[in-house]
Amino acid sequence: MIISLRSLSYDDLKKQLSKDDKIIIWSCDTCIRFIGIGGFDKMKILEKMLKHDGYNVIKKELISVSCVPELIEDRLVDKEKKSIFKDATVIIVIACEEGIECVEEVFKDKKVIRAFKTLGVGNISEKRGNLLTNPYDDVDLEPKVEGILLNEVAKKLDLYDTFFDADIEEIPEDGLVEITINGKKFKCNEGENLLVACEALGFKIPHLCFMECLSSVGACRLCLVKIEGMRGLVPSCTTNVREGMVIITDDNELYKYRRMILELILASHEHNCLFCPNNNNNCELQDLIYQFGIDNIRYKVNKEILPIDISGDAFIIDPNRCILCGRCIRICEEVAGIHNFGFANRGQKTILSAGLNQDLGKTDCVTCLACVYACPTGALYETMFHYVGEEWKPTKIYGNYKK
Amino acid sequence: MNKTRPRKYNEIKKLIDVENDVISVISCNTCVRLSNTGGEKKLRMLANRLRKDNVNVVDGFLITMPCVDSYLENVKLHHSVNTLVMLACSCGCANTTTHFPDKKIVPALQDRGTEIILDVKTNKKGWRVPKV
Repeated sequence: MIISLRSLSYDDLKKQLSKDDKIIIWSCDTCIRFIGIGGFDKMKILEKMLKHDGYNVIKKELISVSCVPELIEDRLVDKEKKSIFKDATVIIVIACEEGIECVEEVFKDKKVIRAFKTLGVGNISEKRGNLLTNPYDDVDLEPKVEGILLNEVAKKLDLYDTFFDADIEEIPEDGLVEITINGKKFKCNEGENLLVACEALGFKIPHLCFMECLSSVGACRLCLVKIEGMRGLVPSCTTNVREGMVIITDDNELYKYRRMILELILASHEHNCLFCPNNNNNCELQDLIYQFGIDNIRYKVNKEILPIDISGDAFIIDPNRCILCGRCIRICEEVAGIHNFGFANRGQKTILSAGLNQDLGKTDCVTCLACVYACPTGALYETMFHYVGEEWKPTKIYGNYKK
Repeated sequence: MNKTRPRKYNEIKKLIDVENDVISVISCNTCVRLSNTGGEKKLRMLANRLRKDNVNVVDGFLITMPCVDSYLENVKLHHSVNTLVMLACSCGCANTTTHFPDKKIVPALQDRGTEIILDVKTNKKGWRVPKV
């Protein structure tokens, strides 16, 4: 894992910006997110800070790996993104130095702000913390097998191991409106995604197809809520907050609908968790099944077994566990910029397909694993094998998968 | 991305005690595979070559990133294994050493590092190599 730390304070960052600049905040979603100083959540914080200080942030752009120029070049041709990137004058890049240079190489006419310094390689450990084990030859630190904690590295090298929000006390909220959720009044940002707003206020709404960093499609229908004045049930993931909204997120009727949807998902294929490599508390579908206490399915289960695609180098596609939420398709389009996934066929025969409905190994997949991290079930999982015996026979590893 | 290059086979072989070492070969399946120095094929090739030279290779593991603890926890070693041959970069080997302190670690790769601009004025590119 590449280890980078922040080299600019928030004040230093602001000194490099002008109020006329059209700013894009760019973040890599791999190493720097694992370290805890990058990713979509951090971009959101920086956007909020800059907007509060009067800067014009026009876009947040998440990329699965910023050190692959081909993925960055997609932003020049993507029909929705290219005009925004054309207008932008400044890109603040949250990535390692290699990732920053790849952005500079593609967007030669933009001012690219380098706010992070790469120091070497290291380990990500929940127990021991994030560590730098092998600093680069030009970094004034010695290698250590057990690693050096990043806060110690930051102190020694006069860098920051935290994100920009650590520099200021509190980010004040602007433009708040009043809404009512389940009979209680709350203040939240106008135009914010309703599902995100409700979850932030402590109202848990079940969902499977929604990811905050992606566009919303309302495919799974689990996040349906009741909104006063709106006809029928409304998917909260595709609704924005407005002044005076009165919302019900949970009642007996909604519970029944959600339970029925979950049962239908379970009936679509045989979701046998015993055979799923992703069964170690990483499955969002399994979490919901437990949460709703589902112990039987009222519908006839589709017993058809679809072929598993093991032709890819880095991950496996098991269509029998796919719930057609479309997260992998959207993340491949919007975050990776590869457009390698899509749905094939129609109705009950709909399946996830790679490339032009080919084997994964024959497609243009760059194996950034963004789709694997996005998958809410075990339909996409990393290739992890244990090879045994004289014939070196591979067996799947059932265990911890990083999500 | 931390790029790697393979060590010479004889160098790897010198680090192995053919009589006493019982080996598991572990390969990273991310940066190392993209550097074409690891992954499923290279893991199989190295294990086969070692086996032909009478080295006791018991099994092999292909895991996504040995530099992340949660992945390394998937490696359940056979009780007889005392040596791990690593197709991983320096930080993957460091993490494995910490994770399996009683095992001998044999790194089969060398770090090449990251190619970046070393001198901003001249735009001169060069390799930054992790110290071992």
